[in-house]
Amino acid sequence: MSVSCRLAIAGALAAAGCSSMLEVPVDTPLQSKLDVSGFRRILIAGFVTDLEDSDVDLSAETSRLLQNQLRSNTQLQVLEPDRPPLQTALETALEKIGEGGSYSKDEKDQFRLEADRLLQDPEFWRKMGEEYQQPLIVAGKLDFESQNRSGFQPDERVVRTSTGQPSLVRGSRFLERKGFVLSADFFFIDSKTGELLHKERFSEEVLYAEDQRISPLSSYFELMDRLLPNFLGVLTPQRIRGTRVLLR
Amino acid sequence: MRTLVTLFFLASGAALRAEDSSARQIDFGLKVAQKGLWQEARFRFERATQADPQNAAAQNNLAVALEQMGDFAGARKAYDKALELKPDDAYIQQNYDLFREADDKRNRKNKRKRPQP
Repeated sequence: MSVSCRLAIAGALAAAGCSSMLEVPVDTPLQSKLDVSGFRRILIAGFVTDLEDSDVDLSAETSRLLQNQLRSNTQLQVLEPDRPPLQTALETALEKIGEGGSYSKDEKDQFRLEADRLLQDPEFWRKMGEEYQQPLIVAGKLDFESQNRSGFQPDERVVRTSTGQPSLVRGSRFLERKGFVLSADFFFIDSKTGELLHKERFSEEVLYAEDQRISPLSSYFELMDRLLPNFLGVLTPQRIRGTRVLLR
Repeated sequence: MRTLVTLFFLASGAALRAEDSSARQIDFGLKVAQKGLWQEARFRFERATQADPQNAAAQNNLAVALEQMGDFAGARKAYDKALELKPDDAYIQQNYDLFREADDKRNRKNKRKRPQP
């Protein structure tokens, strides 16, 4: 029997006025994935994104959002460079690859390879560390795209038979839906050594009916809102909250 | 024959007293748990299990108190014992399932290598 099923049974018993039980909230600690006690500062260095034109400036929006969250949820001093330093390095790499505007597939592949090389280059991060007084660096790769998720979905309907009896009819129905997917690879880098301390991949998806007018930016924030607790869980202890039943 | 009857009544009286003592400890434990005084609740539930080791409610409550206080190994042991005593109790099973879900999350995190800063 699944947990949700058991919860439903327990809920039904409680609703029936079962006085032999008492539901209590529990709150247990969950350690952070990284021990960041050796760092006083944190720098969001920027993110690698696709070269496609996008409705959302992913790197800038994500850097700003993470800075705000880190300021309110950690003890670390959040550095705020005028421009994310990884972005400057990526633009230099892009200038070498070709003219601005549209890029060929080969140029995009070349950019991706160069971006990957930068993300894994300890020397690059160590130099950045010297410049910013050796913070913990967060960088990574981001991808945000819309997807058409229209298709047939299982459907159940109750209909009346000729004798007036209700009958369950199973079938399928075409649903027009669109979705947005946000994928993020976060790199946590020790800028004293330039070494990668931890890497975390997140992926979130949201679906809407075709007639819902949701802007990509709203979707992006909805998905980031889901992703943020997991991101913060890498750096700060979190709590697992729930309820348990005490018995008489 | 009279000795046997006396022994029977003495034994059942002791059992009743144990059950009564266990129930009283549980009642008090519930009151303090509701106020968030988990240290005291844990003590009461422990006393309840000592007074009546066959009391599944006491084992369940002790497990919840231990879980709340971060003693996850102790909580697992107490949940196991509670389920051993009452395998069909939906509440205990529900608590145990939720505990395991949370414990799995914790273990997944702890398994990751913690780097030296």
